[in-house]
Amino acid sequence: MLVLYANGDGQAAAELMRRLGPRCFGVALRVLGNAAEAEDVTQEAMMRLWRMAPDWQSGQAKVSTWLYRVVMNLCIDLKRRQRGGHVDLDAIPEPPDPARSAPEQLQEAARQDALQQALMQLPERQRQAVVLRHIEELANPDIAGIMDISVEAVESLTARGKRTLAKILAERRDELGYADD
Amino acid sequence: MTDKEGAQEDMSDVDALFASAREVPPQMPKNLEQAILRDAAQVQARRLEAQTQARSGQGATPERGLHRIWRQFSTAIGGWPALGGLAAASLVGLWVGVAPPAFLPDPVESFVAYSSGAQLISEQGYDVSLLMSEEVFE
Repeated sequence: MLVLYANGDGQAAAELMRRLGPRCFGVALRVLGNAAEAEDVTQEAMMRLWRMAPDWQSGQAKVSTWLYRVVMNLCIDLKRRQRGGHVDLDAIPEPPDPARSAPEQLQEAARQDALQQALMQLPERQRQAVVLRHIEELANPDIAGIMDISVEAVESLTARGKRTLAKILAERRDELGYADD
Repeated sequence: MTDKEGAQEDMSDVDALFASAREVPPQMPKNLEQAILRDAAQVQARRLEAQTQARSGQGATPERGLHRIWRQFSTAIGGWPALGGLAAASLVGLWVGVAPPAFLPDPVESFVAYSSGAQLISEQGYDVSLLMSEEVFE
């Protein structure tokens, strides 16, 4: 698809955007915790994909892996630039789910908010590893490639991150309705 | 409930939250989709334009003969503006030669007034026999 785009196929860009755009945006949103920043990072990452397209060689890493890496690096750069800045959790949109009743949707939204808030309390590298492992469901070797660390380091980061999340969320168990489940 | 069971329950809550997050991924805003597609189209158009220019540059046939010499000449003297100036100066020179201003001698008349080259030479103070002698021409 990337080769088609590089050769001038007008439809290829739309297809690549449909496949890869939401994944970039989702990861950036989870890691940054801010929708506007996630949009900027996603647009920049996709721009780098368009520019890189003619030089892409099949047999290299997967395009999605390459793109995750770009997104993560852009997130790190952004956070470095704004050290001391605030995190706008209210900027995270909650997608509506028509299959659920209004109370269920509210509770689900509250749970996702709680997850995001807990994620934002993790150290940056732990948060990246947890998002890639448990939300994007990438394999540890892929995450190691994206984050430029060893597989063992990925395992350590995800295990510690998940334990911390469980501890943070356990304090809000009743509030989030898990005691009734 | 033991501590171990409690920890397992907390972990299963986190797993449920992860599953829910995967189930309903964040929606990309429409304006972001449009911006990404606009970027893609611009990058693609610039690349295709550059490729077209590169191809047309490679396909051009080299100039030959008089055309090349003429182009080199015009470039050397400064291009079309210089050629225009040269043409204007040539026309003025021709005009001054054919119809000179009153304060200048008429070169055409001065030549026509003499019936032969010998008369012209003698009237200018030259000795024809001297000019024709072998010593002079040797």
